[in-house]
Amino acid sequence: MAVRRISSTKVILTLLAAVLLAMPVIISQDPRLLHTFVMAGLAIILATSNRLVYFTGSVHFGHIAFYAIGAYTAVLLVTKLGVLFWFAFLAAGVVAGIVALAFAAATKVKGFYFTLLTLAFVEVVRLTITFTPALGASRAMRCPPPNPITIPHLFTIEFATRVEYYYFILVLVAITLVVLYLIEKSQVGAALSGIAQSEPLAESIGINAARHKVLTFSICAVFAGLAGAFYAPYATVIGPSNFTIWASVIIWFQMVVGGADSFWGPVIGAVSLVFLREFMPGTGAYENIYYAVAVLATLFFLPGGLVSLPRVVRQKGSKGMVSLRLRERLPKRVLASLVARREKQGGKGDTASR
Amino acid sequence: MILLHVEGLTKYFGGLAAVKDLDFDVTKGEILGLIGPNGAGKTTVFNLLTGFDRRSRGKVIFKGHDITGWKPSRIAALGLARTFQIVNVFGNQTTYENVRLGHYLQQRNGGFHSIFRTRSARREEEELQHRTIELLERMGLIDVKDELASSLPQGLQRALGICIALATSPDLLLMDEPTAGMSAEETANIMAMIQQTRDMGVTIVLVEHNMKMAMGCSDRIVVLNFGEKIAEGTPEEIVGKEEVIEAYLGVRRSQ
Repeated sequence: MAVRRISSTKVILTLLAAVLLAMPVIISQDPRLLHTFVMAGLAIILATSNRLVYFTGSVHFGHIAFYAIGAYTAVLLVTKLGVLFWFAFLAAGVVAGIVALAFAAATKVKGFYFTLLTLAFVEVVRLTITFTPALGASRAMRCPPPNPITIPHLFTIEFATRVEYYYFILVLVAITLVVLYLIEKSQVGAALSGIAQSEPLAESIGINAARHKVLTFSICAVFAGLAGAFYAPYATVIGPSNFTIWASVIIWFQMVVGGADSFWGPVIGAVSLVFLREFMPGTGAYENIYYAVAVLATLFFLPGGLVSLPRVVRQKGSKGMVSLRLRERLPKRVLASLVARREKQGGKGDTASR
Repeated sequence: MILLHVEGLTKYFGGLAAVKDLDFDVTKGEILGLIGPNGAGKTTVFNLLTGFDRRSRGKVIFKGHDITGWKPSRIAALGLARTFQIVNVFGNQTTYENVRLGHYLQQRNGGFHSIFRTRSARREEEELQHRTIELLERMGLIDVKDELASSLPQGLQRALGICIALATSPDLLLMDEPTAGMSAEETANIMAMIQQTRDMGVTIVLVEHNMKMAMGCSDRIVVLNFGEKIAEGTPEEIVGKEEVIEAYLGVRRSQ
């Protein structure tokens, strides 16, 4: 049975990969839709890597800071030092990872205080950019497109349209997901989960909790840095306003809406919220209302996130789900009065018997 | 042979001495009972020995290494394991996964090998899976190996906690009140486990509140009161001592 399950997962993944690979053809290069896919890819990288930190038991609200560090590293290396974009791209990941390593090693606090520091770190990075003329201060920095990839006598990939970026982010998302998945399902992942469940117990069996957490934090920042280095040439201009605390909070919305306790939850959350933002009417201020509704609805009706929907439906039946959840959430007093009123109106006992 | 040597161990919480100038030795192969009334400092002693608390003064020598000030994980790696009174298991994982994770220190490959499933990691995994099953069988937990640890009854959770600690293959195991709040049947089960642990060649220090249990299990007993050692000896020697009776029953008023 286990064999069958694995193979069905494989079939689904293969089909998904085929569809994603053919997407630019399917949607006939509709730029808006293609742009949405690229943004969804970026969101997936940020949300899944942020979740791995959460997997160790730390609530990390500063992921966007490493995204910013990656973006600015790439831009500076390309524009000021004339480095080949692909080296700058890798360097961006490394720099973000090193900064994260230093940050996590220097801040020896846990729990709530760690969360506050990560939140503050976003502002530190943003304000550092805003007040440093070499980083463009509050003005936008221009980033040229990545250097063309040439395979002699075969082809040349030039980053002229969104299609090339689409495939670039597709590869990046695939690598990110594979690496994060392997980490989570390995014995390293088991140790990280152990730390999250009980740090003293994990320590008592020889797991160095601090070291694991710092390294995980740093690895996750590498992915954020790479995502930032992708974003810079894709957006062509970047400025400090791209890297606010609010952007960090949105990553968390995606994790919660998708389901932060599962590997695939943040993927689903990232894709749904990005599509929600791009395709619901209105922009700007409305965006936040959509997020608020999505997060509240998730917390109220589906605390396990969208990823838990099939399980909940299977367990309770699609009709019963909402009402059952409501019953759990409503205060007992309100529930009792509702039941009483229903009985007075002649409702049958079997529905109100609980 | 002396496995653990404790010398002048002292811990102040604020101005209060929770443990004061404690000296004792643990000999290889024995079961040492550490008893005393509530608040005598038994758990604090454990936390000091295993690195969960920092001592104010004193020295702890384990297997010839001065381990004072070491991190808990490093002390565990040297072969000193412990169980906890309250959170004893990884609740979100199955019994099997708990004990498999307990074998963490037996992993010789680094994290990289485990993540990318190299050949040596796979071979090692097979070996450790085998050992996990073996330990579960020996400790009588094999029937619940796929149950979520948090869903096990208290008694089995306690047993699983001991199993996780044993998976680290320790030389010395510190058990913090393994039978607290348990039924007679569960207590008997844990006592059997303790005997079995000793038969595996593990030296044991047992913190016990329950005098009867401590007397029944231990080869030697150290009695604490208000953080100080008031008696030491075999169970027979201990029961007769005036200080011990006073500590447990209070001083007679007429004196």
